[in-house]
Parts: sequence; C-alpha cells; structure tokens
Amino acid sequence: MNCRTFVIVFVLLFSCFGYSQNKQLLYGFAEMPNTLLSNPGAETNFKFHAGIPGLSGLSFNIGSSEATIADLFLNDKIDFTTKFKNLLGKLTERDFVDFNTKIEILNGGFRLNKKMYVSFGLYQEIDFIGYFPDDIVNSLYYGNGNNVYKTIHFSEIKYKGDALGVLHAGVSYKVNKKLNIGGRFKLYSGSLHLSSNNNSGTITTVNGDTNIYKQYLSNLNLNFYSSGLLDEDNNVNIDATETIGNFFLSKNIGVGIDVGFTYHYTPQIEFTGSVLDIGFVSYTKNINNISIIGSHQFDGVEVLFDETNTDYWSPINKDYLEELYNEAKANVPSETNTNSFVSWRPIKFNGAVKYSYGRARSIKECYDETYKEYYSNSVGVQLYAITRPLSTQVAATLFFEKSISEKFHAKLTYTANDYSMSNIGVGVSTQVGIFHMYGLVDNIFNMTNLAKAKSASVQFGFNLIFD
Amino acid sequence: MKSIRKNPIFLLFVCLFSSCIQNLDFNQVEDLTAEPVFKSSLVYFTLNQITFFDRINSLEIVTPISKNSKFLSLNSSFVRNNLVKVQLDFEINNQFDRDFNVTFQFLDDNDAITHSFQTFNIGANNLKYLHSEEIMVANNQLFLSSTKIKVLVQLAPSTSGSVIDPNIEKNLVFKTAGTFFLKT
Repeated sequence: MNCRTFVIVFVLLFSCFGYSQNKQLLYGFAEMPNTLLSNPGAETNFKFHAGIPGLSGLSFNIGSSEATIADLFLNDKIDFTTKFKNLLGKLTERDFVDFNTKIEILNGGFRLNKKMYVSFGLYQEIDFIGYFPDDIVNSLYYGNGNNVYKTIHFSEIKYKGDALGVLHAGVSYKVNKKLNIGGRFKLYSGSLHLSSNNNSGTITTVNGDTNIYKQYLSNLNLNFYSSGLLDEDNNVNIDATETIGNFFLSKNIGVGIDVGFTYHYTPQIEFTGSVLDIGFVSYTKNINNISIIGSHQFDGVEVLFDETNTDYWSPINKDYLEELYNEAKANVPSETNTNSFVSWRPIKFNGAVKYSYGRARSIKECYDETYKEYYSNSVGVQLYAITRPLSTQVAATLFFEKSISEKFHAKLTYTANDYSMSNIGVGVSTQVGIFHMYGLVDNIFNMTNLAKAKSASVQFGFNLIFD
Repeated sequence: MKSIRKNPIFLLFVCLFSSCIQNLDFNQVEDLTAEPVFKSSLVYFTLNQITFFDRINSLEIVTPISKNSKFLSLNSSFVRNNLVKVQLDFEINNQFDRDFNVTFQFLDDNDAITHSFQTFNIGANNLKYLHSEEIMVANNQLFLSSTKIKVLVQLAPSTSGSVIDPNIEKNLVFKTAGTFFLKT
C-alpha cells in the first residue's frame, strides 16, 4: 500500500467514526446526553453529564448522491476512461457530494431543578456540499463539436462550505408529565467559507448571419464568495494558525437557535420534533468575493477592408484579436470586492412518532420521587430534512428499539434518502457505572466495502453520566 | 465491571478498524484520456466590387488580392500539444457574375508558409459555396507554428465578357469556422 493510498484509506476509515448529518440512529435514542444536540427538547434522566473532551462526539462523513469510489477506482482492469465516461453519463446537475465533520471539544450539562436540564458545549464543524455542473464539465471534457447548439447553463454552479466553531447552551424543560420542550442558543464563529449559488447565464450557439456560427454569452451573473481562503491576488492562502483561532473567536460572528419538543400522547405513544441551526453567520473579515457579470457575443474575427487606403495590397495591420479580447473583457468584466455577506446555516428538521410496547419497567426519575414507565420495545418512524442550495433533502427512517436492560439499549433503522434505498443502521448504547458509551453504524451492508458505498456513517462517543 | 473485551461497543470498535476498503487503485487516474472536439467561427470578411477594380486606371484587378489575419487558435500550448486534426469549413457567397479562385495559406511569424490548401474555384453567382478542408497534424507538424492565415482571392477571367462595374454593389462574402479535434 503506497503513501497516497494509505492517506486515502485512513481518511475513509476515519470517516467510519462519524455520523451523517441525518442522525437517524442518534435521534431520540436511549435518552443519551448526545441526543440533546439533535433535539433540545429531549428528555433526560440524569443529574449531570460530562463528555470526554474530544471524544464525546467525533465525526467525519462523506456522501455522494450517485457516484461511489468503486465506480472509478476499483481495480477491475476496466479502462479508466471508460469508467469516467460512464460516470459522466450517469451524473446530472442534481447530483452532489457532501461532507461533514464535527468535533465536540467540550460537552456537558447539569440539572438545574426537577424541571430544567441545562447543557452546553463547544464544537467545531466543517460542512460542504457541491453540485455537479453537468453542462460545464461535459462541455470541457467532450467539447461542443458533437453538440454545438447545446446551451450551457452557469446556474448549475452551486456549492457551499463552512468551517466554524459553535459555542452553545441549551435548556430542556419539562412542562408537565406529557410535554418536554427545549431550546438551544448557538454562537457561530466563522473561520472559512466558500459559496456560489443563484448564478445565471448561458452560452448558446446558433447559425450566424455574419459568420457560420454565432455564440452568445447571455446575462452572465456569477458570484463567488469566500472568507479566509484567498489572498488579494485571488490565490488560495490559508493561514492555519489564524484558521484554527477563528474557530473560537473571529469577527465572522453569527447566531442561531435550535428548538425541539417531546410529547407523550399516551404513555406508549410519543411525538418528537426539532428544528436545528436556524441561524446565520455574518462574514466581515478576510473577504474575497469575485463577480463576473455581463453579456457578449462572438461570431469570429472580422477582417475589415479599409476603403480609404488605395493601396489595396497592403494587409491591414490591426490586432483584431486583441480588440476582440478587450471587447469581451469590457462586456463581461470580472471584479473582486470585500463586501461582507451573510451565510445562512442549513436548517435541519426532525420529526418522529414512536410507539412503545412490551414489558414495562418503572424507573424513578433522578430528580424527584416520581416514576416513569419505560417499555422494552419501540417502533416508529422518523422524518428528516435539511435545506441545501439546490433543494431541501429529505430522508425517512423506520426504526425498532430494544431495551435489553436498564443500561443497555439497541436500535435498528431502515432509511431511505438521496444516497440509498437500502440503508440499514444499527446502534447500541450502554452504561457501566458512570461511564457511558454508544456506537452507531449506518449503511451496514456496505461497511465491508466502503468503496461501493454512497455514504458511510459510524458514530461513537464516551460520556460520564451522573444519575 | 464487565470485561471490556466482551463489551459490544469495544467489539464494534475493533471491527471498524479492520479493513473496509477493497481493492482500489487510485493510480488509474493517470490513465484518463480525453478527446474533446471544439467548434468555433473563425474569420469572416467581405470584399466588394471596388476591391477588384483599379479606379485610377479604370481596369479590373486580375492579380490575386491577399488578406492576412492573425490565426491565434494555436496560441495555446495545450491546443498545440494535443491537437490531432483541424477541419476548416468555408461558406462563400459570390454575388458577382464572375468566377473567383481562392487559396488559403497558413503562415508563421516570418510569413513562411506552414500549410496551404489547394486553390478552389467559386462559380459565378454561387450564393452558398461550401467547402471543407482537413489538416491531420501528424502529417503536417509545421502547421502547429502557424500564426497567420492568408487568403488570396483572384478574379477569374471573364467567359461572358462581363466586367466589374465599380458603381454596382456586389460582394464576395467569406465565412469560416474551425473544428478542432484534440486528444490528451
């Protein structure tokens, strides 16, 4: 295994220790402290908890809506160019790649009183999604020779990425025996950003009148936003020290909130819901934006015959191409600016209904003398949605939970989403003394060969829970 | 405390560390080839009746008239290094009732001919004369140093006795497009 392969394999293995942004396994599972980040209105039954710094939640996830690593890089003796062309043929402008990393640096919480549980923490997150600019890539790879009249759409350029630190504090509040609500306030510190969306413009080719073809670059409006990535010469220049420092305290500040609830319709039927990251980051520092706006048409180079020159044999000494270039630049100018801009966080929606049944166990709440009924089995359905530059992505999950003992729980999920219609996940949560740990594995059928997986997601964490 | 070795979480952890990537070869990317084909209009120009008439001496100009234009399609090193074939398409509108003989030549910076097409004849009043020429780069390496295209247009002798009238507007309109076949 050579060095490059090792790095790639390491990254992919590391990606095993991560969780998808759709935390369908984690959501509402076993009343773990970590569930508070996916639903601030989740119920808790402990006095306080402390996450092991850096290990209570560590994730790296890569997903692709269509392509897999095996599509290109499987050592199958098939010509690589053939595989590349086959993949290009499958991809459309709606296909995307995304990745998300989250490192919980600090995570803790304590019970304020019998109704309120306060949790707080600090995590660093990198989130990126990029869509496939189908027209542009195919035009560059194949050229326009076999499809000269095809229109190329610049609106297909869409991507968005953020690297930020999030300082958060939230409250889970028990309204009454049936209803628990919660909210979380987040302070975002933006370190790196790149995005381009809502672009427009087309290149079209028609039969010309003055020449054989006429090409129109129509209503081009391209905007590329970045912070912390480019220098004044538009070269990539990332200062590592400054980047890391900006995770904790930068001038690119934003705020956001999470809200959620848990409602017991009956002791056996439970509804939960949450909306996360309703917020934004205002980027004001280290900005380097590029805009390209205009229209232009090209129908070749016209060589003009100067009728005032009676010496008809003299070639016209004129640099037409330089004129052409200058005309194009004037019609479609490229400008850079350092204007501040606002980037909205991708909002996540969770909703679930759960039916519990089987052997009931009455467990005393840790904060008063009341008892809560816990059932050994649960089934339910979860819905998840996340707002993205092109459209909202949704996923639906069926789940089965089993409480094997008071301190050992398991969860089985089936999820349908943009990545797969055969995503089976398994999770376990166990507590030994005050030491709690959990492990969640998504897409288990592809775990033996990640190269063929469109997404991979495994999560585990360690906490100390004090009942 | 339960032995950690029997803890299912630990077993899961160990399982995850075992190889879950099968048989990949990332060096294959170096084998990627592309054969793009690009079409674009090239030069165009119009010659009118005055071009072919010497008003001072009131005589038709029957010697070739030449026009040069820069040909920067080969300005890019990427194009020069990967060009396999060029197809040039000509569309000529001859409004004169006289034939014309046309020759296209490619020149380098020193005006030396790097490639030329055989002279072709455009019949009188042919409003849409179409002609294509192909250049295979492998057989014409000198073509890659072309920076100019020279057009020589010669009024053919009259077969009907008609002469150019400088007061009657007639045009010889040239349109050209190129198709560039590349292979990386």
